[in-house]
Amino acid sequence: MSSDDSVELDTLSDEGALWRLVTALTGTATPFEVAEVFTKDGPASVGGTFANMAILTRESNLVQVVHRPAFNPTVVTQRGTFDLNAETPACEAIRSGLPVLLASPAEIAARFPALLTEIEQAGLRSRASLPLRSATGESLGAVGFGWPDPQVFTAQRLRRLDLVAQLIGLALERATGHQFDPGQADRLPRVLETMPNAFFSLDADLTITYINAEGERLLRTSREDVLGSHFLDAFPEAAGSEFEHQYLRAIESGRSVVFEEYYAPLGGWFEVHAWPDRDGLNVYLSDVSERRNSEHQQAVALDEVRHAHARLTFLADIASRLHGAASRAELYDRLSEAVTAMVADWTTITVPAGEELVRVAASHRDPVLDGLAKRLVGGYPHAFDGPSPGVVVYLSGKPLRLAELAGHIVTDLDDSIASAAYGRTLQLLGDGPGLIMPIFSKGDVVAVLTMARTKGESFSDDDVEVLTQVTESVSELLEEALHLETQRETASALQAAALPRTLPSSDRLALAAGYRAASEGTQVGGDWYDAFELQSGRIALVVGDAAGHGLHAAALMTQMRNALRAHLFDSFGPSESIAKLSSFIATQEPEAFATIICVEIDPITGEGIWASAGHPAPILLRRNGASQHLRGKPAPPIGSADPQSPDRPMEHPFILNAGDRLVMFTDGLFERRGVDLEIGLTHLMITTEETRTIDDPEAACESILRGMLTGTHEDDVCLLIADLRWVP
Amino acid sequence: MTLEDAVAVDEPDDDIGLNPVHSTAEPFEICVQVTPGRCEMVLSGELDVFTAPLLRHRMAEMSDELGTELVLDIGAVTFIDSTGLSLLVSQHKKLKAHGAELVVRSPTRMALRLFAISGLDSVLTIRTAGDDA
Repeated sequence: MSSDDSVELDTLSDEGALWRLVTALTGTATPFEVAEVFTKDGPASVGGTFANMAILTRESNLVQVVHRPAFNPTVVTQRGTFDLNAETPACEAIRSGLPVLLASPAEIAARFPALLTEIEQAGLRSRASLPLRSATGESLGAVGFGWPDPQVFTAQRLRRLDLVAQLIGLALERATGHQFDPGQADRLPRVLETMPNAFFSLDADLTITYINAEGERLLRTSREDVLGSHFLDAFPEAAGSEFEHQYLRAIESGRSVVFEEYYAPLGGWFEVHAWPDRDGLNVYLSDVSERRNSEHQQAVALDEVRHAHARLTFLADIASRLHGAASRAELYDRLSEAVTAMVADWTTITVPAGEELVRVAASHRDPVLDGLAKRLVGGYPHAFDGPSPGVVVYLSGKPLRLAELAGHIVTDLDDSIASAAYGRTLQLLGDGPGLIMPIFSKGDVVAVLTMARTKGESFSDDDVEVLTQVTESVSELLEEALHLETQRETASALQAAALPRTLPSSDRLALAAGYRAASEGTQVGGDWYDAFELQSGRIALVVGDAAGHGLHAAALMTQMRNALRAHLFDSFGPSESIAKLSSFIATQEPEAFATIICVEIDPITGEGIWASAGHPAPILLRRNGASQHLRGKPAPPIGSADPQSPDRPMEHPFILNAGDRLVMFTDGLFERRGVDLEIGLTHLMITTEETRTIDDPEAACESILRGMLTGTHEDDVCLLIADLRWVP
Repeated sequence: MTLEDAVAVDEPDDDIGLNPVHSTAEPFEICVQVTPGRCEMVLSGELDVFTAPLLRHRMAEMSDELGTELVLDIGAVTFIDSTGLSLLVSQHKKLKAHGAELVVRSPTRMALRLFAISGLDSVLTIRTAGDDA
């Protein structure tokens, strides 16, 4: 389609219609008969709905136009007689000797405004008129065509219009007696000889009665050899072929046939139109090998594209299922699930450990059998010196296909009870074709992927190729997962190192602390607590929360914890120490963000002060009286201050009486997605109240953590408790 | 601001490494309107460790058009975690360093409480819905 509102003439042009036109023209003897045939069969030959014919009377320069009126298309009627100078498409075509092409109503309106209404009333939106000429170039008239849609007149379409005009011109020339040669009057040979397409005629007995020049060329024969011969004598290879079958069918049924068939002796594909008339069968042939070949190539190419697309989709799907695995164990789990969901019925993954392969993941398509498959994880190892096909793949590094995976494995099992149980499990998972593939990392086989199909479909070369790509991508992901594991271990180690190994203890002040890593996700957070005795004998208590996760947050946390320790130890007090830390961080780690609360308590008197940078105030649980959040305004968090003028947090005094409990915490303890902040804080208050009867601060700490952290929590949590005791 | 004025609506996607764990949460959306010298971003959903990178990314993209005032409407933000707070603070500092201002508009009761608990109410420029009239 070269334009949205144009009609593809070529797809509408009916080759059969062209040849019906040719055949019908053979019987015409007068100009009127030619017009009768043309107005009937002409439109379809160019994919149109309308045709008229203008006949020029040279002596009078009058143009007689005949057509089939829309109200009665069965009869050819004289439309009128025009002066050659009249403003009509036909007259202009005759005058100019050139085609008049009107592709749309707009073009009709521009060139023949007087005719627009009439043309549109006839249901036409485009028109074309072409001059008719005799073989000697003498002007005979014009043919007109009409379409119900706008047209794009490409060169190819123009050739078709011109061909029809030539045919009509020849027929008209013959009918009017111009240049008429009675010697060739028989079956329109003159017209047929000029045709650029192969044509031959058979009589009812399939004897060849006519073949045109193009037919001789295309079929690599000569008329001397084939005229008068039986079709099958002339073309013996056609015996029993689709050609013979279709020709006979057309003759017997009296209906035209259209088909495409390969003719081996000529090594080409032919499009064939055959239509019977009273004398036998007319056959029009064109060589469509080029199209067929390109179609074939297109089909092959399309198939490859589809195939490649399916493969890419598969790989993308697998990649998305594997992406984001935080550890090798998780990656193996995901791989096993993905492969089972997409290419196998059940899957296991083993990794080398010591001198054997140990199963680390297993999945089955069936949810019930999946539970059974999962029981294989961790059990039934394959010794490297044993016959297991997984070991063979591990040692060779090459994929292995087995016709019956479970059967193959079971055959080689020893007769121990464990092996028997393993064998039974495999049989229950289902036997069938298996594929075992190595997974490499840095050149070594680090895992073996075993896949089974229980419905008999073997793993094809293509499957192996695609799954090889999968295992290659797994190799990269493994390295990434290992990197994450290492990072997490390092961060965990940093986190652990940042927390004090022991808490200071005295008869008067009993401390307890708890840390819980986030249960969701895998990143280590930046929460910490600290407690130590100052030179003054006071106890410093710190709880902090550095924003972010992972190694960076852990490192930042360590840095802040140490800096704060130094300032507090130098007796700067909570407020000044936080201010010093704040300006240090503002210059050293401008992207850092953290909240901190600092408390100092005199264990003898119970007098304390606290200061906070963006951190929630502690809860004070009074032995006599309700618990309360200590009141006081926090300074903004570390990292939000202007480095030039860091905020100095207010110091708030408080008194711990004997039996009172001070509870410090990070926001992970009470903040929940979808839970109102106030509700979270109230929940914490109630949970703290409930520890009133618990004397041991360790036990109280556990109780609060247990009470608050039900289900999963995505942030890490720190809790620090200080109890002031009676001293006897 | 009306949604008809919006010039861009972003939804979180995976290409900047979002963790799919929280796929059940309502989508985080940023609706941007730019007028000369002023930019408004209307946020909805949860502003947290997973979505804060989206906002940071969007702000970095828009940095030439932020003007002298960037208004962040957080009236439809249902949750803010410490990473979200940290982003608000870092953008506040960044804009201030360039002589511009970050205005946090229409905070919910929850957000106001969070700003109070964290002391950020004295740092951020907070404008409640009524202040605009």
